Amino acid sequence: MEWFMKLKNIDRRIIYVLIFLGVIVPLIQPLGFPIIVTKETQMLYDKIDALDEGSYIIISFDFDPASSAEVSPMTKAVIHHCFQKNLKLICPSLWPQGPSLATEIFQELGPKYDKVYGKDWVNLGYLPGAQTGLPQVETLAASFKKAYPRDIKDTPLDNIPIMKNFEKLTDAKMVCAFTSGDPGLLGWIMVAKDRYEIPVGGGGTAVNAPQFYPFIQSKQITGFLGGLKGAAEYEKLVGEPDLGTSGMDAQSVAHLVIIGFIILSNIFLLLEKRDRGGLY
Amino acid sequence: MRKEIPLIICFLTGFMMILTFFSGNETIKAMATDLLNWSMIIGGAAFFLAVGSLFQVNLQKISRKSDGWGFSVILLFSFFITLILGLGYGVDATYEKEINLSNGDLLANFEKGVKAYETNVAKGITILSSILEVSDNGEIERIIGKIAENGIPADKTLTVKHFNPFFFIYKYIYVSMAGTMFSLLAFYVASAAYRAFKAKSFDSGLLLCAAFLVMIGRVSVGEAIWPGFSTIAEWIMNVPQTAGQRAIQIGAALGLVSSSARILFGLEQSYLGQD
Repeated sequence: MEWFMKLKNIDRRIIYVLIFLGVIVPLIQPLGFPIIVTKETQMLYDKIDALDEGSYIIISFDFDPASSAEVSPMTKAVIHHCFQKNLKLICPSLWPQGPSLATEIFQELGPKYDKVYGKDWVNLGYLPGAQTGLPQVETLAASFKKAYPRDIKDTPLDNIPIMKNFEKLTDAKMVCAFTSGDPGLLGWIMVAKDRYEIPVGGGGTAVNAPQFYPFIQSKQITGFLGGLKGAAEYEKLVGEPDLGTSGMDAQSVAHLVIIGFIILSNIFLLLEKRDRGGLY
Repeated sequence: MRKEIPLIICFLTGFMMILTFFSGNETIKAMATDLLNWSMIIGGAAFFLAVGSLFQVNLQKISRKSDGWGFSVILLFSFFITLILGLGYGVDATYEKEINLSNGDLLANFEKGVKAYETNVAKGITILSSILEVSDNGEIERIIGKIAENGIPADKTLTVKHFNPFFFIYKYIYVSMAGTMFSLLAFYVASAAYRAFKAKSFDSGLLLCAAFLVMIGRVSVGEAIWPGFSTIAEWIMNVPQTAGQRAIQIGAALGLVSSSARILFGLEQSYLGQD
């Protein structure tokens, strides 16, 4: 039973190496697992797709670099869709790091679709406030210009063409908040949807996703992208495979490795119990 | 009065915000909006407090040479560098600077101009050729020769985009380090799952089965093995998971309402620094 004890007390560094290989190999050599679009992703896609050309949509960047590997791909996929539909994007952020992440995404997608800053999208910067996000969103409901006298480039909002016909939250046809905690999507749901009846959708990390399922059922959210899978599904819908799609292969293999270890540890547990005489 | 005045302010502002939710009165709405603006200003001002606290803690550590004081030096140094670059160059990925093509070394300026378009050298040459009013034959040396022959048009400038050093720090240091910290979780989860995720009882067995199905059903490999995994995972997320979440959220919301009521009516005074 020496092998049994060795395997049971496996060095954690071996587990780390296997996880590392499970992530890195599919990233280098994609395996091309199928991506099936779930109902929640399709709902968000359909809602954005139904918006008229030139409609205003709020894209809120409520996440930080720690979770950007998971949340940025889905945000990018949605912005692809918005630009394909020629929507006008108003981008606030309830997290201090959000505006820089927005800059990074728009720097890539703006030129691709020949979209111009100030005309097709605006990055408003960080809006400080309470942890719940309620005061911030409520202030935006009253007036964007009061909350944001200037954009991230220090230009007065009155001098930005996209803001000429956009005064307050209710001028937007939809809100999409991408979040990795509070303040974030929850604040937008409670104010934008519950008080002003503006459709709210969005996405978040896989860890955050479970808390939003009740809101999908109660129709307080019009679609939700959960983790890298949500990003991969949306990339498939917009026909722009990117980091979400390639990351799904890596995540798949990593999950398989973890599941393999869990099964192995439970086999050891059963063998131990059998030796002791009785399963439970 | 040191106790009563904060309690009165708390009651009035809280009551005002509750009233806004149920009243359509424009005056009340306007007053509530002002209060909300104040809360954002206070939130912004809290950053200064945070910076003050950061300095106080780290300077103390450095002066006392406490354990890990070297990290405090690095922290403060990085803070100043990032602050100075951020204030100097802004938050955009690039910053713009004009170069006068007719000043100085022609070849150097021309090449600098072309480099500004290094993602597309051909495009850079075309743009510069049109600015300098020479025909574009696609080769830098020939264009330079033509300009030298015909003379340099006066005051021809080109706006060159430079990579912002602040954005460099942000993207290649901060984002990478934050992402690394977050992704370390994958390694710990794998190791912890191996050691702790065991079906020692019926309840833990049930949890293990649910976790297995969600883990396999929420990634594309699950769909490749058997499409039913995805359906089962969706059902777990939509039915038992949502039921549990809803119970927790409603419970938390009721707790929040009762805590808020206690604060509004002055029954809970710990925010005043009292037990």
